[in-house]
Amino acid sequence: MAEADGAAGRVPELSGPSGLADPSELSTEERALRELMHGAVSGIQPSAGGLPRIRRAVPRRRAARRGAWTGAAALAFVVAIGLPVLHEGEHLGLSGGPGSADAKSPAAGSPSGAAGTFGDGPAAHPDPSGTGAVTPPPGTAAASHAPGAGATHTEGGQASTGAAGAGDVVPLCTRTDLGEGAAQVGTADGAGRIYGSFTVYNVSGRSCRLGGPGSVAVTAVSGGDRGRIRTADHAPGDPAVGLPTMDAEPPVLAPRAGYRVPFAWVPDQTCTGSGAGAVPANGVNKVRLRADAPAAEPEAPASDVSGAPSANPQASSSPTAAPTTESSPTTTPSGNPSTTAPTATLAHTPAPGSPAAATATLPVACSGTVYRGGVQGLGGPAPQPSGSPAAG
Amino acid sequence: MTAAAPGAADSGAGTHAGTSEDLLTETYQAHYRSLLRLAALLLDDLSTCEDVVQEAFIRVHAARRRVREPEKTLAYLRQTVVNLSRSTLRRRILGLRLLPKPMPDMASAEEGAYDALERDQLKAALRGLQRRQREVLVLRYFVDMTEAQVADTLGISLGSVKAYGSRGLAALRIQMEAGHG
Repeated sequence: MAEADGAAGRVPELSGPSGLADPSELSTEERALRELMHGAVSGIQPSAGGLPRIRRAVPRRRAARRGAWTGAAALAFVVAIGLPVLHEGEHLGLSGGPGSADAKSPAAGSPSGAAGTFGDGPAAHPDPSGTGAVTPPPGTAAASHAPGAGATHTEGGQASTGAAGAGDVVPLCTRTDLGEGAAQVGTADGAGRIYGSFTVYNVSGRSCRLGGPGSVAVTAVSGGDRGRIRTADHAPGDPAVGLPTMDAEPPVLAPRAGYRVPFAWVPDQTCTGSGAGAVPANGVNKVRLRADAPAAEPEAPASDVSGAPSANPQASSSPTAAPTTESSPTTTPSGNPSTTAPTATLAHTPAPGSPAAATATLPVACSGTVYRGGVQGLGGPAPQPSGSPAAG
Repeated sequence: MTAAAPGAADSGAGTHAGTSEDLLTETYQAHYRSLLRLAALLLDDLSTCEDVVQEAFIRVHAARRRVREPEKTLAYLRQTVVNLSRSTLRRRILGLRLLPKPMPDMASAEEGAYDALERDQLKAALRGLQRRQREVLVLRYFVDMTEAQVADTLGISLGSVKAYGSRGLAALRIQMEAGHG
């Protein structure tokens, strides 16, 4: 049985051709057999697509071996999340329809090419027949032509991207596969909580599997000491009740599909009581987002944030405006309320690693915690103003 | 080359650093074809050979400690190909046939009919051997391993290698002569 595991621990001590036997010492019969053997297989040439297939499979196999989400360890924020790993990856090689699959389908990168030819996959396959995996990519591709469809996140997209991954052999997303990073930040609710999310899209033109949840980290805090801003994974029981849990499977991203990483800013209780006035709880959480920008220099988004709150806090703007408790913007703890409202810059780095895909700036008048939720698949293309598929 | 490998091991898997990638390309270009031919001698089904060799590459390169000593990579690859060929055969015996796949390219046009005949004859004769005999002969005469290296690769004693080899040669001789006659 052990032999079936491939290379065992022991390996012959041979150091290349020089260490091999000398054919001239063979008998006539042995030499004839040697010639015959070489002649018998001399016509065999590798089929195209072998190297790319191996190249795609190796990191995936490593991830399976390691039992951890790849790349997620890049930032300390994502610590040991007890997540089920890609154990099913162990068998993908032999039966995956390798070079031959590539030979059959000219679109070598497409998931359908790899998904259909499993011979001995375990029962865990959502679609053992493999045929179901063929259809979704065209479906999502078609959806991506209708820009309006992109805005409807969640289930629909999740389903299609998930189906595209029915085959095990979808390669892991590399960092260059992912782009069009953006951030969305909502308005603070009565308790000063702010929900937001990062979105990142597969811009590669092939399907790929997200290797992990990536990281959400605080990269800069202006106007205050950084220690006030903590980060944590969302877990049941914490105040960030609106977030999805962290135990989701990493989605498979069809071309132009994306994923969402929701987060929530929850200021500390102590802070909300006293100095909550500094929290611009009135819908003016103007957020700076810069797709694919590196972590921020301490810029001056403060002007964006601070401009409004003092001007006309409760009268006009948001319907979610804080009730009475937060009505006194005058008692801000920081001495200079008008100019420098403290902000924290969050950055999301996708699973493959740096650079960050997007950053978001939150007004953080007091200490608190940024919770991040699990990854959610998005079906459609990036809802960007330009509409049509971006080149990059 | 050796010095670069530990660096690859330290970096995150998502980056799977260029060192191992280059190593993979290098190894592929240097050895893939000969390993494919090795598999072709061990297996009677050409279409499975690519699977086996690619799986061997994936396994060996997924284990960084194995790639860390490039001088041993080829030995690991060969050993894995032999083992996988064996388990593939065993699986086939059990009736779990892999799906049919297109054959690898055969440059048959440039081969004479006689060569093709003899090739088929050899393949048929090899198929008629016991598994161990076939493995010993192929490693010994196609890969040009010494008997000691064959023993290491197959995990059997030197005496067994000699025995399998001589019996295999004899059996092969009979089969080939029968084929000619």
